[in-house]
Amino acid sequence: MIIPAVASLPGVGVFAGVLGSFSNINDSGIDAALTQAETIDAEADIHLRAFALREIPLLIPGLSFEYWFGDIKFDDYNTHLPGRNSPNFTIPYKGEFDYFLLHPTWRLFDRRLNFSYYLIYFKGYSVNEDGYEEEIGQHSARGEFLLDLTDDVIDPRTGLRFRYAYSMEAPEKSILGKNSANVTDDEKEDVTNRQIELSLYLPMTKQFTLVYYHQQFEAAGREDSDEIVPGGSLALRGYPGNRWSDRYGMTNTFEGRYTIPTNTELDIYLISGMLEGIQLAAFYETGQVSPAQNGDLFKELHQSYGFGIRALIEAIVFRLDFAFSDEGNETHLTIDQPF
Amino acid sequence: MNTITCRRLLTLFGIVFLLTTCQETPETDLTGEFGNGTGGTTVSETQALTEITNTSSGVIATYKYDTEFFDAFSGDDPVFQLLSDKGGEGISLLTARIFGRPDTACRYVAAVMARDEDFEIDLTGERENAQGIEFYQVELHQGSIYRGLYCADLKDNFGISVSVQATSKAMLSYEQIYFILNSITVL
Repeated sequence: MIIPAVASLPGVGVFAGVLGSFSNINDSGIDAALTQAETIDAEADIHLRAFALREIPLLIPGLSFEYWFGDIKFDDYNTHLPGRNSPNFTIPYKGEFDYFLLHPTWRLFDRRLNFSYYLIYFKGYSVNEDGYEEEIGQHSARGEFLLDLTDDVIDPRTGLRFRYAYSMEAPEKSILGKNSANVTDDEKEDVTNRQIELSLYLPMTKQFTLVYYHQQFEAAGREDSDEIVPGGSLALRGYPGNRWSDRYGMTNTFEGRYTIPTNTELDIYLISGMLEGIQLAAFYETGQVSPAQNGDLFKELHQSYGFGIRALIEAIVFRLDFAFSDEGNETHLTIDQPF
Repeated sequence: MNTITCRRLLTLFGIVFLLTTCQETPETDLTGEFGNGTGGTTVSETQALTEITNTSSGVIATYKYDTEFFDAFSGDDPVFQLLSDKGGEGISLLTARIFGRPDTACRYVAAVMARDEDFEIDLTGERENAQGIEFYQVELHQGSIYRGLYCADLKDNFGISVSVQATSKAMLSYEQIYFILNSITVL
């Protein structure tokens, strides 16, 4: 299936392009996906080509891996500074890089227990001290543990989900590439990031589910550096992505989801399949970042709220969320539930 | 829910989506040529020429300043130059070589000053000097400290950043400042 697609990712841009998806190729169980997309809004100028092979089985039952390749060029990508006191003032960048990912996952007990390893190789360009661009290649790695005690992987209505992710020491070289010699000492210096996410799904009625989501992150290492070392960024939909980041951070979200079952065969605008339901959602989120792990994480909280509509089409959730904050509004058009 | 209702719903949300996402690019507060500036001491005929070099010491651009108004302090690095007014009015000006996009350099410095030193960003601009060189401009203040940042791409990915410090907003527009900005010439 190859379809035209649009996606809105706050802080990145609004993309339009084509999306290809191929399931269970030759009955191998392997899925493939590809996309070519470009930004269509004035906020950014980004060109993206990506390809993925997923669910590639390995010898051990439950063990599979996926491979991603992305070629990304941005002539105008706007981002904010990290830090608790980061101003609402964007900084434009241009650049080009390739992104490679190897991601083995071991799923146990009917996907309830998942162990994942992410090996990322980034090949891009950096401006050296003489002002000339030079190629730079670097690995990074992280591990992830996921406990999923929900009733549904795609659209849970009851249960809990816990995720713990942590950065790991990456190899100097792998089948993806080799670290370049020009990586600076600062870039090599170890920083350990940890992040936990907890989602609780509480069924209030047959159609209404209340969801509580908690996210917490931290970075350890380079404590003497004058630079801000981010441990992650807040998941607040009313702000651009990566708007708030610092060494420590915490997000809390309440979201109500009301599902109207439809079970209608759909074949419109190149979208075909069983429309199982339309879901209406409303949410309220707070969060804060801090350079230290103290009470500041609970002071002057950033707030975000909004509403959304989701179409549950077979194993895919199409999500359109409108979110608001003291810095404006953001529109999210993407697939998958936010948590 | 029938197909017609689904189609109407999708169309409605498509329209709402387009209305909320297709926003215009944020406009800068100032555009156009710098002009000659206003106020302050008139520029004298006694001027010095400073060369801006690339990393191979090749001269890529020059600029002038009034030596009757400014004292110059240069370090070992030929790229940086600090000019300070002789009369003690409180105007100083620092030039530095930059690489890459000029708006990246100026906006990054402004954002760091706002974050770490509590400066308020007052305005941004896309300006042009008398030689036709395009500058990105940001003005900030913190109490009675006023800063003007001007960044331009000159040649071969090398550019210049001019940082002006003054004790009032009006001083940022003095003729002496705009004389220097207008004199920047690519060779």
